[in-house]
Amino acid sequence: MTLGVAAHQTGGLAICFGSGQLIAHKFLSAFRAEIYYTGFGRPAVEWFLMVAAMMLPIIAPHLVLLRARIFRSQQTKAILAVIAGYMVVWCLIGVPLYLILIAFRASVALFDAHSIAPLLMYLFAIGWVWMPQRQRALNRCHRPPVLAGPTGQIVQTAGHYGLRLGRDCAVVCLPAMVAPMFAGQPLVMMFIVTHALLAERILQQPHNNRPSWIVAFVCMLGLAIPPV
Amino acid sequence: MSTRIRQSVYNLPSGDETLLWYGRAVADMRSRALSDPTSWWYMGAVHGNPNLNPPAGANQFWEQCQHQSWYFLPWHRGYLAAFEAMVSKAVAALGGPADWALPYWNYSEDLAQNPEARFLPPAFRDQTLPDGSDNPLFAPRVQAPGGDIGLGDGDVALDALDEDEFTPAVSFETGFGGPRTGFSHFGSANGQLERVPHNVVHVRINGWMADPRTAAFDPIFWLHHCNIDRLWEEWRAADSSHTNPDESAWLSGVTFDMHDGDGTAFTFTAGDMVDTTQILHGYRYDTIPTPSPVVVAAGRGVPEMVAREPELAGSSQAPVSLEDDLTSVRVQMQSEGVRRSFTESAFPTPVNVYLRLEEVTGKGVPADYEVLVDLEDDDEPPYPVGRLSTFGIAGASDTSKSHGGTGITEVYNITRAAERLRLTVESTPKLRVSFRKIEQRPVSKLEMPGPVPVQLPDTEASSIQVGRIGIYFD
Repeated sequence: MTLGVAAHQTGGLAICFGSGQLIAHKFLSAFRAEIYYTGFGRPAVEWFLMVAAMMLPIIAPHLVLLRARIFRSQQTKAILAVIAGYMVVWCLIGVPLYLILIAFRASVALFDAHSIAPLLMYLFAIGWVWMPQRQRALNRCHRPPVLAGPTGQIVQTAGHYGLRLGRDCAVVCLPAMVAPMFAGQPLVMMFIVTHALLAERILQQPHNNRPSWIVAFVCMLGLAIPPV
Repeated sequence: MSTRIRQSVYNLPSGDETLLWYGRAVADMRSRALSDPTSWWYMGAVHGNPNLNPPAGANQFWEQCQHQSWYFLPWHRGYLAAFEAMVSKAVAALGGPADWALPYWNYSEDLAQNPEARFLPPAFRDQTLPDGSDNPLFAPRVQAPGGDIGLGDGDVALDALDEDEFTPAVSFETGFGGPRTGFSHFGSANGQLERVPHNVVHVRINGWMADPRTAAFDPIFWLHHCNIDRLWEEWRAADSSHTNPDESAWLSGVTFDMHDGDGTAFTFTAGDMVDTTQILHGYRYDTIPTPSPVVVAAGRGVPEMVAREPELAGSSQAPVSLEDDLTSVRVQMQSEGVRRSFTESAFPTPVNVYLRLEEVTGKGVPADYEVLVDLEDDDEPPYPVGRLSTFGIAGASDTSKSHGGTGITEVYNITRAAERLRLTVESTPKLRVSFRKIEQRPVSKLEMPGPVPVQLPDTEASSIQVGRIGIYFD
């Protein structure tokens, strides 16, 4: 497998519109990045970029809160440890998901189910919104790590926190997040899904499922978006 | 209808029937079905639900109380107004006055003026009335001969009124009214008024009042919160600089659901709660002569963030269980990597020094703790810096709730203590933080009369753990 990035700068700056995937998109556009690959290279890079773009906006508030509770000398290490733990989880998820995606696309092509595929994905994502396992994971996302311990232990605790956060975020977000990908939809759909997931976290209340309806509604909206 | 006047329960005129009608209305509301939004049971569960099965549609209204949040005061104001409307309607239907208003219990009143101020009001003390019937205003509470529930000076102190800001811009300060949050049933840091006297009085009364899931089933709850609501008005009236937040996040960021006196659903925001004369029937307090200003400061926008956020300078080495009457913990200072101004010398370089108790979790109905700091090798007595109240700790520790069992966070500005202790980066390895348990008297046992059994959620032994103790400088 080989992987490389060829960049041709055309000038201009990547503009931040407050969303990770837009940043990534603008960055890649501005620099006319071309990714060439063989084997798993391209899907691995795509997956990594997609996770970073969609999920970093969601965990950014957690990182800000964590940073304020860590000794200055350890802040960088601890934040990197959280991100590393978080991305490890998502990279591990990416491998089987990639295989599933291949099988899924092959099945779609074999049975000519191009119109049914998005329907199935989004129906699953909508159904998942109401699953108690998802709600429990969403609750756990709000719990910060206990950071007591010798100074060297803080970074380790932060890494464990990243793993836990990655696991819980995956349980909460994965179906809605991958539905646009499986449905072959444009970037804007991922942008909308990211913000719906973020809004759900901010607005969630006990015994009130209105914020989850935001995610469900966006998934319903996804049914109307044609593939690229 | 004219604006109602809420009066001190100890200043009600001789022969006044406010509490008599309150008791009758309580009994009437208890006779209503759980599914009735104006029933005692439904309204109690709006604050917290111990073990009741929610009727259809109730989830939107139950377990909505706001704590450890800048919504603490406005949410409870709306809750009180709705309750007052329900009681008032019941009173009128029973033949009482049409302008019934909720009295408040001013336990912070000067003892020279009212020696009984800290005692439970007489109408709430006895289990039975003179005629032998059940007293509807009685509830399981601390055993209190003569009404003395053991409130001390520190329990009813009004230091919160000295706070300059409702919610300060610095994230660690919780101010008078509590920290910025979204919807917060539990799980953040207490504002100063919420910590003392609100939380402390809850735990001192004990019984149902000690747990938010049962607190609103005790009739004294409403007089206690009426006083807290009054103190909010008093704080605002005390100084023109005492203003409510003018940020849109506070004014309209979260919408709350409630039922009015007719049982009709309505919604409100914190911004709807700034003028007491405009809330449902409208009310004001007898000790605050003029209605509070309605207008919030215009043009201030989002408060400017202070450039220097507090920085962690010391931390405990492991979570601490508060099992004994006195638990002491050494806080280790990290001298490397902190800002130069800290290491170069020391006090009084930092503007403020904070003690932060993080992830305080637990279960049961525990006591409160007095928090003290001192240096291990000096002869000075420990310096008290505040209370650690465990009110609501079980709910805040429940991992099945939306906050994920985060627990409670308490922040104390210990700058004065640091001054006295000559706290420096070099000396903080010797800093000791202690938790002294405040003795609790036993609770009287009582089954609530009525169709719905309400029990204390936790009767097992309590346990409290402090996840981390942090010292922060700014």
